[in-house]
Amino acid sequence: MNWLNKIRTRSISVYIIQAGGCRDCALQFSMALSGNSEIKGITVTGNPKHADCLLVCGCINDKSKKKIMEVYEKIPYPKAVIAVGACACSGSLFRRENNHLFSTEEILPVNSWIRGCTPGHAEILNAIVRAMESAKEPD
Amino acid sequence: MERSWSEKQSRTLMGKWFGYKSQDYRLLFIKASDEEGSVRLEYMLEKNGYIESVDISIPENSAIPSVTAVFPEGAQMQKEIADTYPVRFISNEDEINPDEEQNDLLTVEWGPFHPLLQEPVFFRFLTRDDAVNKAYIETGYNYRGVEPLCIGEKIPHVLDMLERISSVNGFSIGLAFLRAVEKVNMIVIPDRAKYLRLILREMSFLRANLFSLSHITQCLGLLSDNSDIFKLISLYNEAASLITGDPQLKGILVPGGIKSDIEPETLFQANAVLQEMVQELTAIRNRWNSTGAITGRMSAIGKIDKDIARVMTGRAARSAGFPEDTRKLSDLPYHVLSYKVPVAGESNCFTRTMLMFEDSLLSISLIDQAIEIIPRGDVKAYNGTRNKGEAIIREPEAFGELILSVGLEGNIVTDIKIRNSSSLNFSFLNSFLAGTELNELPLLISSLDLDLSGMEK
Repeated sequence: MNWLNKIRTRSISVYIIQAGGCRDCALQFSMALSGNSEIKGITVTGNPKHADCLLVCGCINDKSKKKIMEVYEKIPYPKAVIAVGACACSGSLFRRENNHLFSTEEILPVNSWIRGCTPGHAEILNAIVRAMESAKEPD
Repeated sequence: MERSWSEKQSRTLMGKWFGYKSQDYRLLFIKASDEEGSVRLEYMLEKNGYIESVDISIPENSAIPSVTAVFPEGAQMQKEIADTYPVRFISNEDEINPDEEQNDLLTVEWGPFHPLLQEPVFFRFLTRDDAVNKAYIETGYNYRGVEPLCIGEKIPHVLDMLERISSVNGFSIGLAFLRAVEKVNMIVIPDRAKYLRLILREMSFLRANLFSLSHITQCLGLLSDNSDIFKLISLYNEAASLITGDPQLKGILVPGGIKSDIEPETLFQANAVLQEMVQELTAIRNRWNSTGAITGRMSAIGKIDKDIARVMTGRAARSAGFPEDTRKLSDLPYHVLSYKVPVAGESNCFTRTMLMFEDSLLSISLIDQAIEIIPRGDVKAYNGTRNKGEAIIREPEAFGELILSVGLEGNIVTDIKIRNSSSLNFSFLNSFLAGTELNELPLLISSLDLDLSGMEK
């Protein structure tokens, strides 16, 4: 139902998870919303049950991993996950073997990755719209 | 098997601490290191710029008295050491048992992820009539293990990691690290580089304060002021992109100075952009000052006692009337600039927020003054890093004082310990939360300038 996903991209509700890291990616997203959100129809919600997509920023450790998965389960279908920044995509400079840091795709099905440290806010908005076009339906 | 110190050893240690406390010393830093079969603890105490140190070496798996009975600001530092080293601290204070619910108290959980929480932290409140009675705070979500990751790495790689510890204070941590490298290797940086570092540091302070203000406006629900603050952040980003291309100012510092020179015209253009902020910041500050609803609401919450504020750092101390000038800790030429550290008379949410405005205006003024008098010359003096040694650096950061202990062997980092302002101030968070209404909690926490990503690393 690609046309349905296209329509859904007109109004997207985002739940942000600042997993743990320098928080610059979440700040960049806040910057992005202060300027362009009306054009893209993107808003931030404080309740995962009202969200369409999940924005994951920062490094994921053992502690935050469980909570992130709990939040993901609460978001209704169709839903999308976007990994923002080098930390969420791959663990960035902090990832080593066996130091219990995870990338987002190791714990959740990711629709869109935005690499960079820190990525620009325009890229984040575009990636959210692209991710919703491929939002996950229930199995 | 856990061993305890003998009572005599405990009494001697407590006696030393009480002695320093009676002479108005405050606890700056607790540094721990592994020795063979034992753990060495170094307590750094400070009074009027003079530092004393109490060193003890305790067998592994020992239990020793907690310093919090004498110096409560050491709670978070002790917790980090207890999590990392085989040592336990015995305290007489009752630990809050989160599973213990009293009949007339309601449990409310908040976090770790929430739009009004800047960083992940989990709160469990025991409340009565919508006000907090007790709080249980669980941290650890920001932990990346930066300190162990730095051991054995080369200086440029460690600098890259340290600049990414915290969005708002990463520049200060990187600068403090380079000061330690330059101190061990006796590198004298050129004057022009010092001025450029000063300008960049004030820019990082300005950015930190603007983001704090934006979060305060979100907590207050002032959407149009939030939008105005973000316009100011866009102006800052424009100025930063003229200079470095990165608003977080990453990748510009090198041992011995700055990576590349910044043209005078570029500095003037960036300064012109920053000066545009002054009018808007002053207007928002005056508007809040004259709005009874804002002053009344914010003045009633987040009060900090003068006795507690005395041992805190940053705006928490200055808002209570203590003129803490962390810029004096720096080796940069602040002594040639004209400024007065903003202070307030009583520490509450409103006075701390007003100080955010004053600190932002102060940073813009210092940048303007530095650009006027910056000398010409080289921006880098680097003879290589060959020496072996240790250095302890005290450095200003946006929210208070930062302390860094670095051990180097040539180009390799052998030891690193970081204590930021939140490691000190976080110890008191529990006492501030008591009595606060649930709907005022985001405002209270955001006015305390907690940099948890810098604290947990």
